[in-house]
Amino acid sequence: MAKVLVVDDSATVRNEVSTFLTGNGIQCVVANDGQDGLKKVQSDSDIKLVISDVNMPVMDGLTMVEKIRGELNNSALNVIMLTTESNPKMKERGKSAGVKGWIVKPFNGDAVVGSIKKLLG
Amino acid sequence: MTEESVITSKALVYEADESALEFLKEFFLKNNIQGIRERKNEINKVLDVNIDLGAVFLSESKDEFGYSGFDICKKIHEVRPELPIVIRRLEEHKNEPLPEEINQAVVAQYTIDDLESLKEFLQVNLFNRHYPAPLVHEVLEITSNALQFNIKNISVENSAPYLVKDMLIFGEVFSLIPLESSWCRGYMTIQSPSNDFEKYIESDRTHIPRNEYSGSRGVNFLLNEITNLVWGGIKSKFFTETDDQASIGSAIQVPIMVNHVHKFISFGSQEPQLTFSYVIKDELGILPDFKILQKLIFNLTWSPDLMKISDQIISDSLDSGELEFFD
Repeated sequence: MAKVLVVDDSATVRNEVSTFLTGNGIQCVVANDGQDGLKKVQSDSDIKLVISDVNMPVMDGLTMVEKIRGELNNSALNVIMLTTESNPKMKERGKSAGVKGWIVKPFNGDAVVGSIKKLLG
Repeated sequence: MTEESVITSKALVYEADESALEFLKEFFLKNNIQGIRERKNEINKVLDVNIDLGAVFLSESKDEFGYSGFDICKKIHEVRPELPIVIRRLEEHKNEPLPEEINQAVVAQYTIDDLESLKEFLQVNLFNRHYPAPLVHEVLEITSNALQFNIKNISVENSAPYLVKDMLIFGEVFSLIPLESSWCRGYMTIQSPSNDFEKYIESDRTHIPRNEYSGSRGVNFLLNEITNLVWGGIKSKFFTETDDQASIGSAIQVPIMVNHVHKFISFGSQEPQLTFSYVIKDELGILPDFKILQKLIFNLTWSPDLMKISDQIISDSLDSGELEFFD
């Protein structure tokens, strides 16, 4: 079954997003930072979508995406950034790394659940 | 961007003369000062309750007990030396030097109707910086949203931001995070009573997993989450230029001094702290209201004229929570 990986250093956000998605019939796994997220992507082939924060300790979200594309050679995995960042330059970096979309926090599940389901196929 | 916002401050007042008091009331009204009157010789109590003062206005006039501003001046300066004190002199004594211990404690003197001296006192000691209105408005909005995101079924009320010279910590728990850009460098702190936060966690009114975080650790965690979200919002909206992170990282720092016993924190600067007060109200009417304070201390760099906020960012903030697809 297709899973969504939620990557955020904030347990509140991880809990909020994964609880909402699970309640909408979407299976979730969570990671605390970019490095943790990278490991989960590598070890779980059921992950079909990543929803990730940008600013995180250890490894930030955009570096994680660049490593998914580069080190893991995975260009098919959809990634959405969920962040307080709305800086156009940051978005441009995300776009270049192959990020599919951008959500400015706080998370509004009802506004995005349809799109998430579409991305999961 | 130099538009200013209405910023206030709280001042402790000891004034025995009714006409001088009326003069001060009018002056305070015109200059956004909230006066807190001390008149029962209970200076310790007044100081204990009011830990977010901006200035002290004393008077040489004696009250019916023969008690004057001179009597409390030394005491205030001793326990809160960071508070600027101005003293009103009697017309007949205005050319006489102040007693040495009083002279050391006060930063200015005035006589009744001497508006210029009072204005200069405020300008030099409190209102010496301008704070761009977009920054003030966005901080209020970002913080209110962060509180409501982290605590369920609450409303958040805030008052006008105010300047504080006191260096005392409100409540039992506080967070601290640097604010660094090319136009400002300093810190944000959010300060709160612990018990009130704990009640909301125990009542399952937050998103944090109660089995993992309970008691004081839960409060620490929740405040950390709120602070992180507020910091992210401020960074996203105002630190938009290509900041040279390497030069920020190697820039000058000063030690932060904390005295736990006296709930004192110094950022090595005498500049007033821009303070926001929020009252959290339970919309379900079950849990008690409580107050938190947020302080922005730009102790290292403050050049608001260089602050930039783009139209793109303003419009982005209107769409928060929605998914923007890239082509």
